Amino acid sequence: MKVEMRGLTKHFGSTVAVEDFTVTLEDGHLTSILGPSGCGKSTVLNLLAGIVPATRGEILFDGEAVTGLPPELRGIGLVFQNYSLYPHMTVLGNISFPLEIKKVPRAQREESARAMAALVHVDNLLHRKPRELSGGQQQRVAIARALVKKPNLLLLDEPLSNLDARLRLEMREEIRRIQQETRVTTVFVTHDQEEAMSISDRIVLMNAGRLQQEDEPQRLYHEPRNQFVADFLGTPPINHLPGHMKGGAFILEGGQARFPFSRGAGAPEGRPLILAVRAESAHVPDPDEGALFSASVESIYAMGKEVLGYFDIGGHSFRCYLDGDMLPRPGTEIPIAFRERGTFLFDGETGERLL
Amino acid sequence: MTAKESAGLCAEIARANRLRALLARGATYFFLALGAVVMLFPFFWMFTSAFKTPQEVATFPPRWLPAAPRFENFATVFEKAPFGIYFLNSALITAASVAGTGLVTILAAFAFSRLKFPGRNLLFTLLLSLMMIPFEMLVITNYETIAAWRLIDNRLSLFIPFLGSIFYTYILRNFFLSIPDGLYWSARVDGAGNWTYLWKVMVPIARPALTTIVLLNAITSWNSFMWPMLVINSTANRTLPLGLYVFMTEGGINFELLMAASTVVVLPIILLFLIARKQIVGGVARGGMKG
Repeated sequence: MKVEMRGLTKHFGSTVAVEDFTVTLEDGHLTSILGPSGCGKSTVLNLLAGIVPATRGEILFDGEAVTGLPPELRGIGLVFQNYSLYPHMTVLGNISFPLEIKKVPRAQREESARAMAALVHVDNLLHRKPRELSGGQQQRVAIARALVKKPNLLLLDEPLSNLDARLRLEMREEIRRIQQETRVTTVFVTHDQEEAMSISDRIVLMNAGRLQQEDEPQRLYHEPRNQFVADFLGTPPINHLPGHMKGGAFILEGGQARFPFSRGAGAPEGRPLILAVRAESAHVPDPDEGALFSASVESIYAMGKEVLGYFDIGGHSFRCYLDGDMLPRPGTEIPIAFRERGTFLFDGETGERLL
Repeated sequence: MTAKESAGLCAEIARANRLRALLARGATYFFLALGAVVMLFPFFWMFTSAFKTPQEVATFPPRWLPAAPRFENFATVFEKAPFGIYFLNSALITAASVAGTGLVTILAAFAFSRLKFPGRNLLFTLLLSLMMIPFEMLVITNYETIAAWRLIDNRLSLFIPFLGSIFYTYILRNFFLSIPDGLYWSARVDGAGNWTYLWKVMVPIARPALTTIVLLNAITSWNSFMWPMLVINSTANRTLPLGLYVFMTEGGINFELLMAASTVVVLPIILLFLIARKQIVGGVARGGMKG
């Protein structure tokens, strides 16, 4: 089902939770809504579910406005962070509950529930109560319950955050598998960029109640629209070098370092800028390549195939990966150059991308 | 001190500790047993006296047990007064009260815990403050209402005034409030409206609290005496406690018959208590108040 949100806005009293949010989710896609805590991503989910009413704006399911509809009339499935299984019902009872409400005959609803339990691999636990299940099992049951009535839209609210690290990885793949098998349009809310990157067809990145960017995971990473997007994605976080352009050179803030940066020539001279460089986009250049600037080594972490170096560039800290066979000693100076890919120039005041 | 001496000393200390623990436990059990005897003695006396002859009841020093149990006492009681009707009335009214008050309590507790309407908390605070008013004062207004509705000497008047119970509503509301919001929204998304959610999810989860309420209500209703005495006049409408009172004042004091009648009155409650002991004790402990 195609889901459109147009100018969706939610205020709680004077607090702005979501502001002028316009996004379209394509049919059959798994879309992550990603952002730091308090960015309004859960509110968007609750708006989609009909749990909180919108202050302004519209929600359309396949072109039909559902903005005012209560949750029970929206035909959606929802999995909460804490799963919210009915504690007095067995697994089978939980999964068939939505069909029981629809007054589906017992034999038929149990058949559907069993099929759904088999899909999420809990068909051997049908007569247990939720308290007798592990977190991962409860999660699977919650997904089965959300899917059993064949919803047009599946909403998952931070479904992995209550699980331990290993289970999280496993359930992530499970959710992807189940989504691919059922092809149900899915919204996955998370604050974990790695989770979102690995699972999604599209990512909607939010901050402070506003949409930052909506795109495919890789494009979001490689073509961030603003500084927030570049900062939020990637481990280790992207490096920041504040400064301004002057005569075709980037002057690092503090004035100690300047280096030719022809690519930045289009930026207005004198305006505060942020040169943002991903850790894998800086490297030690070949002698004939010419260095952009020199960095003094602070510490080196060798982690098998990768070596992560911490540097100081004109008073600003900088992290980048080095070649595995290169282990400079702390205190030494080494030349550093940037690759074009993964190097961005942002406006220092608005955070808008200039390059 | 040699090792041997030290070991001996340790053994002695251990022995002393054991002795002290034993004494302490002995004293605890002694007082508990004393309390139990004091509490149980009247029941014992009632039960045994119900089987005695008039002479045995009156002898001094008292006889603990009848020489031969006289079951005729019970037959006599049922002959002298319509205890069968009283029993039926009590059972009907208790059942009606449990069902009616239970329903009202569930709906009120749901409204005060789950529905959002302006003035909800103020209204609930007001209701709670009404708990301060003693029962005896409410008797007057209740009586006037019942009289105005022409329900005096009608069995309906025995449970209608008590359909709304603030205390039970309070217990159940607190239980409902402890059920997480997530369940409510899950149920809504699963397609359930408020009504379905209440009966399919909330009520089954609240079964421990509801059991407590049902039991407390049943006991209160079964034992209720003052209110029935005020509003009931005719024999056909009397409940057991009322019937017992009338039996005592009208039939003269025949202790063995009185005790047999009393046994009939309290036996169902004692049985109920024995069956549901855990829930009653747990419920009162959870509520943290008197029933």
